[in-house]
Amino acid sequence: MTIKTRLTIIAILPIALALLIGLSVLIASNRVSREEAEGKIVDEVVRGVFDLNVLTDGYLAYHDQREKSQWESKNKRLTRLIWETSFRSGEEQALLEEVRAYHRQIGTFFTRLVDNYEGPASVERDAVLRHELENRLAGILLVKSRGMFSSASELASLKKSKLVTIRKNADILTILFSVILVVVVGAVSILTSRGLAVAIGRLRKGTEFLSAGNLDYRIEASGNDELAQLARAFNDMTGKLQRSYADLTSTMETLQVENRERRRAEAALQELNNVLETRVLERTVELKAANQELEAFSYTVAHDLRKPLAVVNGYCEAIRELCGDKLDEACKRYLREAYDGTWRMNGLIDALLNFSRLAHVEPRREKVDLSAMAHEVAMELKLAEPGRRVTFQIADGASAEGDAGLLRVALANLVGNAWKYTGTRDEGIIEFGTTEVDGKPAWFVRDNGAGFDMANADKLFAPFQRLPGAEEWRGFGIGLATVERIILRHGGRVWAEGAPGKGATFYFTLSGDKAV
Amino acid sequence: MWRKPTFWAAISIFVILAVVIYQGLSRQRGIPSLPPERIRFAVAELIDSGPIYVALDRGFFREEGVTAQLIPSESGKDAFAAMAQGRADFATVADTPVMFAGFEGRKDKVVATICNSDKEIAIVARKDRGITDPKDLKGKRIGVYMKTNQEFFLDSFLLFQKINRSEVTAVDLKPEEMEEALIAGKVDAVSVWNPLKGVLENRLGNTATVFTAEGIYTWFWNVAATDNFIQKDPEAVQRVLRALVKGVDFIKKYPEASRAIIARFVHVDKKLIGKLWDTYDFDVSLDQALLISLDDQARWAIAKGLVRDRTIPNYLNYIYTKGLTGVDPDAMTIIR
Repeated sequence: MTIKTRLTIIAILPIALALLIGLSVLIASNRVSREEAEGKIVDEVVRGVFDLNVLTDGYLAYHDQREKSQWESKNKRLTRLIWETSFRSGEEQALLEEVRAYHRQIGTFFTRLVDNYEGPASVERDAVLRHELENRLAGILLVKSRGMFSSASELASLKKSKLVTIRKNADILTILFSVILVVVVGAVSILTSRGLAVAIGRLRKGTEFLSAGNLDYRIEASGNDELAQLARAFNDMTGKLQRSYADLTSTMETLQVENRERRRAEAALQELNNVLETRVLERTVELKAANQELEAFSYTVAHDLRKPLAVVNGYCEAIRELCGDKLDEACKRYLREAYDGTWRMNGLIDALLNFSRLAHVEPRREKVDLSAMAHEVAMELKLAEPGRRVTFQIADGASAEGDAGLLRVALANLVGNAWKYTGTRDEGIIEFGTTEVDGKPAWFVRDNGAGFDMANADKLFAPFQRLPGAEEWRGFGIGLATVERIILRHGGRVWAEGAPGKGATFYFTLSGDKAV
Repeated sequence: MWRKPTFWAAISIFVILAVVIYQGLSRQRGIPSLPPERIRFAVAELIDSGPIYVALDRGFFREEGVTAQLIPSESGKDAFAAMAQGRADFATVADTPVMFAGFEGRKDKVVATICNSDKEIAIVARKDRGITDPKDLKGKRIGVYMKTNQEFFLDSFLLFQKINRSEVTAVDLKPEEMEEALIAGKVDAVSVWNPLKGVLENRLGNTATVFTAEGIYTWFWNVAATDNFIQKDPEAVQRVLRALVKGVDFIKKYPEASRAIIARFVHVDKKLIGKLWDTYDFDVSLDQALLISLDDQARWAIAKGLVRDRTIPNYLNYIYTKGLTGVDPDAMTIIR
């Protein structure tokens, strides 16, 4: 039986029993009312017998018409009362039949009594018999009246005892139903609450075991009520939890193994990183030292070379001044080549010194008009070689934050490079403009010159690196390396795109700069 | 704790045992502890004596600690006489012998009425003697057991027919003589009790004519005891009365079985008893009507000169009321 059903029974039982009590009280009340009404009738019959007896005695004593008429009147009412009444109980009805029989006889004998007295007394013998008969009738009437009285009294007594019994039974029934009500409701309540308490106790115990981590524990689930269903659901849940826990444990173990392995890998990686960083630091230190040494060497070489070069240049100048006219043309050409060679070497030394200095210069931050700067460079190039047909397309308003001097060197190198490699074109076009790369401003110098193979793009900015086929162009191989160093010093980057015979484009950015 | 059905089983067994023991003890208390009382009971072999036969047959006397020795009699008058002669402690007797005993100063007392009827006595006459109407009895020989209610009934019957007693010839016959006297024609009619009335009707067939007079005489069939016995052992009187009450209860509850028992004792066909059954009202009582009837008959006896004394005895002195009061107070309705 489900808890809901039990609770419903607990709720309905008192109502049902209370209704039963009410019904029994109602029935008893109806029966009492009926018995009381019938009891009144019986009492009236008893009084009627008494009245008739009194009137009979009066008539026997005085033979007055008043007694006779009163007797007849009373008898008429009594007759109606007796014959209009009937009882359900067999015993009562039997007694009523006795009363009726006595009453009928009383009526008969009283009539006989009246006839005997009031009838004609023709002879003396009749008078004697009449007197004797009256005495006999008086005795008979007395006996019959007594009999009727006894039967009516017994009936009244029966009615009274029945009334008492009905009331007593009603009381007993009420008490019985009340006791049943208390016992049944109490028992059902106790059993239900006890059942609930036991079931809840099992659930609580199961929960405690579960919370303590005992997933093997199962709750005893007898019956088919809600708590038993809950216990079974709990057991199912525990089973699933147990399986999930087993899976989880397995997964955790796997993860732990993996974690340990990962930690080991991380440790190894960290160790490797440390080694690499150490190596990088070492290499950096070594590199810095090497660079410093190289720069110092370059500077020293350049500086120390400048003296003998000046001597050679001086002597070439002296020879040309003092013995120029004594030299044939070939010697003059050789001397000129030697003299030009000293100047080129001087230029190379200047370039090397500048390049070397760039490693130490800290660029200033100022607003630089790159468009104006590009125009100046173009003008210088046109003036240097007026015979070249080159068209400059310089975007207006290009400006940037940076060191004006260094940016002038970088831009001169890039535009000069374009000028140089468009030398083979009848109509050279050099373009300077701005663009945007990865959300940052970028500038470019584009030409329609010889171009280059992208496979060699990474070699473009290496010092003293000359791409294959570049021998026909003059230069020291340090220009683009200088550009890269300047751009890097500004925190930017430089790169190039191009194809052989299709020109080249050099892009550069300046970190943190914005086009102005 | 309330563990399983074991607890309830134990409670149930305890309750059942308690009830059984209580009932056993209660029943034990109901059994008289005294040794059985031996009584001699003179009983007229009439249907009216039914409660005594039933009590004897069903063992109600034994249950009450009484061993009853039955002394069969032809009439109440004979049974009452047997008691007067010291041959019986108890006797069945109608009102008339008691009335006469009052004039004789006997000390025997009525302890209860066990049956009453107003159709018990009838006059059976022979048509072949010219009797077809009650008035035809004038001048005829009528058998009657003198100094019994037969005589009182006959006298009353004649009175209601306005026939003087001197106009008929009353022949004193014992009950056992009645049947043959009428059959043999020694008398023209007889005043008889049941069941002889039925027996005569059967034997005479169409020749018989029966005159009844419902109500003119109410017969009280009583149990009387000797004053000596009552004085000596009033408790025994109550035991006898209890047995008779049980007998009456049995008759009311099992009329068919009761008729079979009574038929065996009175030597009459059960069917005949069945036909007469409604005539009888079995009840153990003592009513004022008995006293009235005794007084009425006493006046009759005096008027007819059947007794010498002209004073009606106080019949209260001939009725023992304490016995029945002790057994069933409601059944004792004599005014006191």
